[in-house]
Amino acid sequence: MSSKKIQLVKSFSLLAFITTVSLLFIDKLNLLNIAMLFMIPILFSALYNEKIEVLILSIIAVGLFDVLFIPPRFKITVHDSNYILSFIIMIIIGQIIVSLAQKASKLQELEMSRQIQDALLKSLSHELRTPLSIIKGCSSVLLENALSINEKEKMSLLKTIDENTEEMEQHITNLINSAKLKNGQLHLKKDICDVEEIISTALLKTEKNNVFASLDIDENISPIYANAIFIEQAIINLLDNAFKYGTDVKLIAKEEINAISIEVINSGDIPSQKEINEATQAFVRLSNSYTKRGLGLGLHVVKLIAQIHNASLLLSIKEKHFCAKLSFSKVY
Amino acid sequence: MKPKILIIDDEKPIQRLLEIALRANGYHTIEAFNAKEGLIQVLTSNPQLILLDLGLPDMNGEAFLHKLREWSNLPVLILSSHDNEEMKIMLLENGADDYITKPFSSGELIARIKATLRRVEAQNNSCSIIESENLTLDIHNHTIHLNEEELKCTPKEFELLKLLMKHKGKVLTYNWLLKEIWGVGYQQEIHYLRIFVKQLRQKIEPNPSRPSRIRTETSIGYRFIG
Repeated sequence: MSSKKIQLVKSFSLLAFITTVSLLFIDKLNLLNIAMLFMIPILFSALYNEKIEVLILSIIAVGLFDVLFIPPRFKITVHDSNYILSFIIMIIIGQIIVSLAQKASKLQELEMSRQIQDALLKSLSHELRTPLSIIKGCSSVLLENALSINEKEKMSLLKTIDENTEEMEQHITNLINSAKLKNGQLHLKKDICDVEEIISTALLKTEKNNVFASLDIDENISPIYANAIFIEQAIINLLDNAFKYGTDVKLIAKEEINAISIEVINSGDIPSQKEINEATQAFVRLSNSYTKRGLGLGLHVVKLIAQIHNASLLLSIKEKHFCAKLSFSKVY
Repeated sequence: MKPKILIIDDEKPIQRLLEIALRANGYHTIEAFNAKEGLIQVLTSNPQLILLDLGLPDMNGEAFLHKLREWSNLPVLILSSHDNEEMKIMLLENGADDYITKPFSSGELIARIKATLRRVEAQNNSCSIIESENLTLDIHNHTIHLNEEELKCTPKEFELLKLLMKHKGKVLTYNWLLKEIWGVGYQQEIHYLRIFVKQLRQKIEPNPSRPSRIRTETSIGYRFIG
């Protein structure tokens, strides 16, 4: 059951409870008190339910109040026409509160998106500016001191420029992908893809400096129905993280009963179980990442890619190993 | 004589950069800042290869290729700034010889240019034996040798390796390979192709799970490296 439905059930239960209490203590309560009691479920509902639901609940509440408590009791008619005005006011208050509550929640959403934008700006300015300042620094040293620096220094400056442009490129790719995936402006072309082949191209782009992942790929693993470019990007991000934050990187691709799974595992500096629940949010960086630069977008993009493929991304810690597992449903 | 390369790109800094990189590697360069100028330069300066940027102000890449291919077979290397696979496939199937995605390193660019020029030359003197490192393919006798030992291959595997080696360094699209090997009507059967590529990799790659000779260009096709 969705959380909205649960809230609606709660509102009606509260109404039932208030009605019962009022009936039990009818001798001790006067009509005004009972009317106030009946406002409780209406206000509760106004805070948590939709406008139309509140309206229905208010009408039912007013009806119950009228039939059960207003003389003549057990009849829909009333002696004093002033009560009609009270009923209308009860319903109107419900509607006023509901629009106020909606406004408040909109403001909260705005505040949230403002916070996300803040985080975006902060990490953008830091994570893109750092490599950029390094590049600018190196190139200016090369330009201004062309004659006084030796070949070895020159090479090392050039190498730094090269490495930092690669870092920027990776950040920009992730940023563009997350924006594209979020806006849903992507008409995703899916095809039958060979898992082994995608893994091999992802390895080609991530294994550097003679550090390799160990592989365990089921022979004749079934293909998946997906967009190969994005799946490759997802595996690249998982492998990048594993190489960046951990050691002993292992990639397992398995054929399970109902799914094809691709899992990247690493040991080394492992985040806590509590932390990994937040790891797929945009711009969240885990405690093991403080000494390393990054945007906090890698896993978020993997998550988005999994979502558009109806695949699941499961992060877990098993025996001091960090595991990120993508599971795809099988193609029949 | 140094080969002449025509650079068609409307951005001055990129023009300068490419010029320096190409000259340092022994090429002459000619510049053009839009498609029209480019077409005129093809006629007047007689280049051996064209580097074509896709974001030209006066004509898109597709239109340029279409115009050029009406009267010229000059090899064209596309400089593409966006990772748009469909566009790349379309251009490759409409007469582009290869593409390179920005940002690229000059090493990558030079390697692509060399491979393209070499391929054009090889196509002119149609030799019946193609060699690449420890691999020798004899078109007449239908044999493949790896380290001087004969490699057992099915006719389809032979055909596939022949196409790949003949176009060494060039990315061959799935569609094109399927059409060449199986004929028209098999364009959707990429998995056939995958099976044969996998088998070939098992035979000629030192490490088949990290192929270094037959590269996969994700979503586009395959490229024989060497």
